[in-house]
Amino acid sequence: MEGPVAVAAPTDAELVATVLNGNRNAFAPLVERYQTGIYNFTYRYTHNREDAADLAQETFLRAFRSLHRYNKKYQLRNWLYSIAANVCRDWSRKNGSRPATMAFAASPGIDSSAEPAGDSSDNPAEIVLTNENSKALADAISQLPDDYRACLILFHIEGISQAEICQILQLPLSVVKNRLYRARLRLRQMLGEVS
Amino acid sequence: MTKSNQPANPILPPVEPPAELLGNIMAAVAQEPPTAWEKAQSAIAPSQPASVFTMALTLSVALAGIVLIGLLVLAPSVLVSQLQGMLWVVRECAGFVVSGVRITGMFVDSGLALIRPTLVITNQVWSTAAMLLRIVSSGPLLGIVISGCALVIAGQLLLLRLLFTRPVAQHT
Repeated sequence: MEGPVAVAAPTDAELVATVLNGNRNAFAPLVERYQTGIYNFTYRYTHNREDAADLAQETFLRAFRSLHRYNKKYQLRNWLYSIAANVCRDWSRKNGSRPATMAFAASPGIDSSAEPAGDSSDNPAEIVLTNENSKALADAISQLPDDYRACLILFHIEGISQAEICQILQLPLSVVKNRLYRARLRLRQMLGEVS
Repeated sequence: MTKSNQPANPILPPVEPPAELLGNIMAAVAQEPPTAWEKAQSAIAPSQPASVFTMALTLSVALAGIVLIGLLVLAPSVLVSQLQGMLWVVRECAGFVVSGVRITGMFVDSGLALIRPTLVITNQVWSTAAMLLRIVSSGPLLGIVISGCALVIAGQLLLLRLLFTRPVAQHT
């Protein structure tokens, strides 16, 4: 006797089609699928849990409103990231040059939720050092200009390829490479000053 | 060449979103007013008469086709005479429109020639106005309407000229 047949999860395109046919509940699996990535992006951008959650929600709402304009040729994930990047840019504009360091310092869960890789180590000194490194790095990222920050988060934290970043931010590859280079340079300078 | 996907950053690992995020998003989605595509769907839904109309149109076209083919097979001479008759109607209509336009031009010209000396308008303005009138009157339907109007105006002007026999100075 054969075991239970695994039912394949519906693809993004299928779920989008279901939503477009009038079933709003079919949007939930899509949110479930991409909320971690989008939330991480907004969190790294804002360094504030409440703001990150608000921006993630705004991203999914905007996506829902303009779902009929989604081009199936591109990955839904990239489309959502491009909306998130726009939402974050709007947020940044609205908030001006808000000191992200303060928001970061005020965010309570940064250390508990973002478990650094060093936590697997038994050495407490190493854990502390890695936590400090994480803080310093996150702090430095939050001080980067918006354009650099988005590129850096997408590439180095979300692990998205440069070609996909071009799609997400609608920029030529040379510009993305340049921004990444400059972002890393600035980070190095800032972290050098810290150390 | 672009770099391939990087592994997740070891120093800044993924952060779990708050548990209530999904619920909040779905609640907000549920409260959203009808979206563009939902409006489009609801606009299509009550349009049953449109599909009935399309069906009726298709049927009538098909029926006309059958009649035409039948006539062509059974009585080609009747069909040919009918077609000739239709062509005649079209030709006459076209001729009427063309003559309407010509008459318009004629009346406009004559009307303008009559009233031109009595008005103090520079030649340039005058010729521009005449040109505009000709352009406007070149449209078939407008041509017919304007030709009627021009006929009335010209008639009135002629009457005025006959009544008041004051010699009209020639415009140089």
